[in-house]
Amino acid sequence: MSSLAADFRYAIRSLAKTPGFTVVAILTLALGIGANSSVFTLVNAALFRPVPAPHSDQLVRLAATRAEGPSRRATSFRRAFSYPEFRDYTTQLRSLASLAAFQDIPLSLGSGGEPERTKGLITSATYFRVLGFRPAAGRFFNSEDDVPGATPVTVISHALWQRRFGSAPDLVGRAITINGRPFTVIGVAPERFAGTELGLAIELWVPFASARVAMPDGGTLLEDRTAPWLRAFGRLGPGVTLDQADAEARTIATRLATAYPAILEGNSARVIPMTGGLDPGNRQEAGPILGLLMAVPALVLLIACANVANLMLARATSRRREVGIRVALGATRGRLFMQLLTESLVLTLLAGAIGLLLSFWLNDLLIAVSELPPEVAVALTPDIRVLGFTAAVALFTGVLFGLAPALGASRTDLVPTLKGEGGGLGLQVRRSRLVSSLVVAQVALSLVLLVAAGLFLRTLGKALRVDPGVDTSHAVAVSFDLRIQGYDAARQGAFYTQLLERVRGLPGVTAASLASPMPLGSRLISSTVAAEGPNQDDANVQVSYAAVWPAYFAAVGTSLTRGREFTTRDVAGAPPVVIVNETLAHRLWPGQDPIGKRLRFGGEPFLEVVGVARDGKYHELTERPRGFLYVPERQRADLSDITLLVRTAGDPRSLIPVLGEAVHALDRSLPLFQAITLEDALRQRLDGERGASSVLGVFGGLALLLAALGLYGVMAYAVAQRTREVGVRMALGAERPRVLRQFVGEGMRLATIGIVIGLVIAAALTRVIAQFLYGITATDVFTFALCAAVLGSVAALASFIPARRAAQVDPMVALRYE
Amino acid sequence: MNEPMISLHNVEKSYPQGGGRVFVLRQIALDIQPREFITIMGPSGAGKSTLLAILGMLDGDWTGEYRLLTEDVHKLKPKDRVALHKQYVGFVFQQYHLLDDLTVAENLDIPLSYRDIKKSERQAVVADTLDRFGMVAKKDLYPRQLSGGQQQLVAVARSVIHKPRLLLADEPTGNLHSEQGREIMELFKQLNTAGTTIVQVTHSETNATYGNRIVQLKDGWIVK
Repeated sequence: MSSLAADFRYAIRSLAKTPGFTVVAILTLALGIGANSSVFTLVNAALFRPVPAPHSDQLVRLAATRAEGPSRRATSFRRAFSYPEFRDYTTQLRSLASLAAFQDIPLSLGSGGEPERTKGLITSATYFRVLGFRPAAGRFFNSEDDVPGATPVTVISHALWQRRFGSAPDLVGRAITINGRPFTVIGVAPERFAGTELGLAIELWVPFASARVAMPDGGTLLEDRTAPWLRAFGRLGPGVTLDQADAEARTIATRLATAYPAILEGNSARVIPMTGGLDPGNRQEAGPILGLLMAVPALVLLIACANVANLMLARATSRRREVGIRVALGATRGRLFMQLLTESLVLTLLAGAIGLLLSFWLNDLLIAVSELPPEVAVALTPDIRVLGFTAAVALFTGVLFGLAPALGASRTDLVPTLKGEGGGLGLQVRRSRLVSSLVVAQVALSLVLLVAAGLFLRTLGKALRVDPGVDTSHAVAVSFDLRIQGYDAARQGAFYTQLLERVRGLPGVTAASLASPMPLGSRLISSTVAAEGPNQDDANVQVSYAAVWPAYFAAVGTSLTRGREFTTRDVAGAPPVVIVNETLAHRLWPGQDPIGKRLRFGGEPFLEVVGVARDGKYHELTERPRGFLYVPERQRADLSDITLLVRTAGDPRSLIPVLGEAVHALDRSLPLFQAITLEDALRQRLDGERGASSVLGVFGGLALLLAALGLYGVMAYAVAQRTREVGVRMALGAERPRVLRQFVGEGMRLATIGIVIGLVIAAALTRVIAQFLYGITATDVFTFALCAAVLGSVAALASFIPARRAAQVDPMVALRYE
Repeated sequence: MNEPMISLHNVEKSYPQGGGRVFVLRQIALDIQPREFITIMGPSGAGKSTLLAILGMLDGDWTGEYRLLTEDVHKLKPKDRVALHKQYVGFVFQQYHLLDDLTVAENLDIPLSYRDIKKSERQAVVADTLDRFGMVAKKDLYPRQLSGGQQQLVAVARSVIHKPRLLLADEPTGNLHSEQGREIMELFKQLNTAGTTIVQVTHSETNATYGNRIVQLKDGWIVK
């Protein structure tokens, strides 16, 4: 222990004596450690962060699962419970002391200011009790609040209480308007609590008993065993283990599947640990992406380690005399190794502390650069896991970059060293090879990152040039939901008619229509259809669809290649009609004229094709061509989230508040959301690609900088070491350009080897990201060649600068150099 | 005569060059009795420092037989040679080879710390040695703050702090002026009188007079 303390003291003293080296090494490592810490903060929030509730280790998820895959061996967590199924687990699952269920729903808040669409949660009365919270004011739900016919009540978030109601102390007990109905506020949730899952910023909680008013289909959902919509969690009973609860849940699931085979065959349930991150379904999908996300800064850290290892090797060379003395005085190799490793660890502990601070800044930068939507309330504050991860990364880093120099130094050839000679030819050759290998490794890894960044940038470029199939210029979208406001079908119809009349009369408006869902929105409705014909019961084709009003195609600027638009004659009771896109027409009736042909959804009446619309993009700009169809809104019942689409001759942005006034002239309490130009909507669809490009661009640039610094450092050191040699050569007749070529050539030789190795590794690894690319392959030659050229150019510059210094050496000065 | 402390028989050192071998030491046979003060002399390149390094087990690349006290060094593994070196040998270098970032006291502490001696015991031994060598006032100074003679004094103190039975000194006064050199040699004499066997390499005839036997080396052979 005392020797560790002595080594620690000596390390501090030794590092302080060489401030230049120490600062460079610490900053290099801090960048790498900080990048890892920053990304892990996101991964921690998504996967590991506990629910911010008391005794969160006892909280578990009751996850609905289903068997998937060719032999149904894979388990998908993308299933939900129906309300009756949840009730079955409540009564039968004994190993959980308490169970709760919930689902996030949009709610329309009409009190405390302008009408606002908020994120709500409909829950069992046990929700807050299971979590173990105390209210900031008032109380939480009890069983009496969750019985049919109970007075609608709500719990509001602390943030909403402050923001909308000025923390009014008398709000508890007052009624507020939700979905056009009065709800009594019974309590305020704890401060900073906004739900148990990442990204949900819940502002209102309502019990299941208010489903009828809180949800358009709420009346039937509580009885419908075929409608899965709920997520569940609970607390383990006293002395019950996770495995026991899991086994019981699966047994109950088997029992239920036997009792309801038509609904639950192939489905099951699991009890798994509950975290405050993504729900199990999203976690399953996000896992590979997060893994990739961790790999990127890990590569940067490896490059940083190689950089610092080279610095340490150079430093070790200058300390070989000291090492020789220590060995002569009785130090064992192990003792020396520990002393040198301690020095590395001191560096990394300091770098880790700075890296942690850097990660705070990097997090803000990453959020800004990746343009995360503001409503995703990502909890990017480091917790003990992040601190532990950072410390572990720092220690691992210290061992990694300290190992080679420590091992090398502890093998010092003693006698030549003590005589002041170069440490032996064999040792010099070993060190030179190690240094070169580290430089080559840095260059190779940098190229891998650059190629990944380049591929995503090219994907973004390709996606930006995609024709979305709609004319996004001079067009605006504004969305609202009449169903949650309690409008029946007749009132909805009257509202839409009046609204379109008003809007079409506004100055500058050239076309106006309505649609659900909106084009290029985040929502996509899918189903299967079959064309009329001999095999119509078997040939189901996957489609997506939208319900649209007359003049829709004029409003969004999509052309019809054949047939006609919907008209006011296409109403309920008239012959059902449909407009298909080119892809669907070709799929269902290849080589035929689709006009007049018929198709249908499941067992519904056949729809006659009256028009063919030009293909476009309906959800993601990088999606493959998909079959899409449009149905007249009057022939679809109960649409939610309607979007008003308006084309104008003037500035679309200035039209947004005008449209808001037109809506509010009909209903003051109706909240609007997603008021956006179609250009901005299109831009939002590329958030993912833009984010990935930006993040990879930042890390790729960092890797390039580190590799360049590494190469520069090695070449600069080589020049310094060989100054006398250069002087001798020049005194013997070597000209300056020759000296320049020699050193640049040495640097470029290393860089070239690194680039070639990097290209091979990149070609192997980029297949992993092929699924995220668009318009290019994972081994796109142009990208690979461009990145190699960029890196080669940077390497040439990094070699040229010290080489120029070597070529400017005065032979007489160099020959006196010691 | 008693059993010699050190016995070398047919010790040779060479390295390959071209198609053959270049010999640094040839057929060295040498016995050294306990408490002897041996001086090894010879022209440059005779192999003097190499012989000293072999005696101190700092160089393990040689052939022949080397017996130190009761141990056959030539049969020992490198790890065991290191242990033997630590137990019996102290080394004084021409260039002092003090550690620049350690104070005088810390330099003295280093060999003790490598011998698994408890900190409290080490502190006592260091204090005693500082006192014995008259360096108490300089214990917190760094080597760069000392004169050449003072540095060599510290180096000598460091080499004997663990009470080795064998002290090897390679040109110990080579970088000192005559007065400083004389002080160091007087110190060696005292240590020898107190029981330490000393083997020194030197070019100086004056220094050689402090010893009781001279071994002459030429071209790797013992000639006298």
